[in-house]
Amino acid sequence: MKGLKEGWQSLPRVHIAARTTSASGPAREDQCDAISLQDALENPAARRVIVRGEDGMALAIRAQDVHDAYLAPLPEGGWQLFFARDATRRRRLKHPALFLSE
Amino acid sequence: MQVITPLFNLENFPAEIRALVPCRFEGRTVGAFFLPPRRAVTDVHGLALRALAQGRVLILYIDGLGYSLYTRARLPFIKRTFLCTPARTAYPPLTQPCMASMLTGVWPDAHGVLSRRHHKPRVPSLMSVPGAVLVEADSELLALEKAPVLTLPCEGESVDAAVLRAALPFVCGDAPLVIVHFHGLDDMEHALGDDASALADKLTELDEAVARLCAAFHGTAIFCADHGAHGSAGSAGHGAFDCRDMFVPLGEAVL
Repeated sequence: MKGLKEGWQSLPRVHIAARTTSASGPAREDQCDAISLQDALENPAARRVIVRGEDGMALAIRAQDVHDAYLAPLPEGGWQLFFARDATRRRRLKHPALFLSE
Repeated sequence: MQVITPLFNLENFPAEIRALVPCRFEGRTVGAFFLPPRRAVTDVHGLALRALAQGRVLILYIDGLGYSLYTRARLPFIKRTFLCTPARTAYPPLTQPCMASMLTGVWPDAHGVLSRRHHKPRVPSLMSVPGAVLVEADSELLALEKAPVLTLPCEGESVDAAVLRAALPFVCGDAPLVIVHFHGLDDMEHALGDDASALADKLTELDEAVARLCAAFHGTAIFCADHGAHGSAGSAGHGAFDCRDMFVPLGEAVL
């Protein structure tokens, strides 16, 4: 993934709960070991980070919110970006490919 | 089989009634509409193109505002300005398929965005209009002809206030088509359900934001939503063939 430190997958992991709203029904909570995005970024963000997925979709993150963002491995392979205290589905990004710090 | 009208889910409804219009998805019938409204979310595309022949167009898109909630909500400016009527939306009533239907004028089986996992419509959208601008919150939801303007809230600012702040210069400018997508209501509905009183402050914020954009605009404004929501706090969402998810308000005004 461009924009992350070399060997970022080896960074210490945090055991964390990721909540996701579902299409109908209670929010789902998954426990996982995730890597802090703040630790993984190659360059710290002054204003924001634009994350672009393999499918081309983009997610913008405020600099002050980067500490709340984590990267967790997906069961099917690959990684997912999510926010520890935010279950909003649209703020999750599967298979991030590019992290652009601005 | 679930049968719905704009405001009611009809239980134990006889399937032989001729006024039923089936809703089909991926080759199967997921439910039926009883005396469905004439309008549909796909009308937004044609309304916008026809209005562009006369002047500028502003599309005010409130994510998650179902018609049922609209009728129960206090939205004084929106209601008196747009005189919205119910419109059918796409199945499944999720943002990506419904937004794609709104912007392409066709249903999911034609544009190919069938779920949250799909992002790229296979037919042209309104973003192919030269100079068109889409102002979004912090996430890009569809891969359209042009990337959206992503917005981030300042400290203490709501996600919709950030969208309003970013949209105003485009609305005041000369872009022929400006699409403003407010996402805060949908975010709150997932936590609180479709209770109009619990969502009152957010609905007031949206009514005032729409009023500010309309005050700054001259041309045709189209007011619409992608889907509704159902459920109560802690157990709410959308995506079902339910009257609260499947109908949205649609209206237009010349400003």
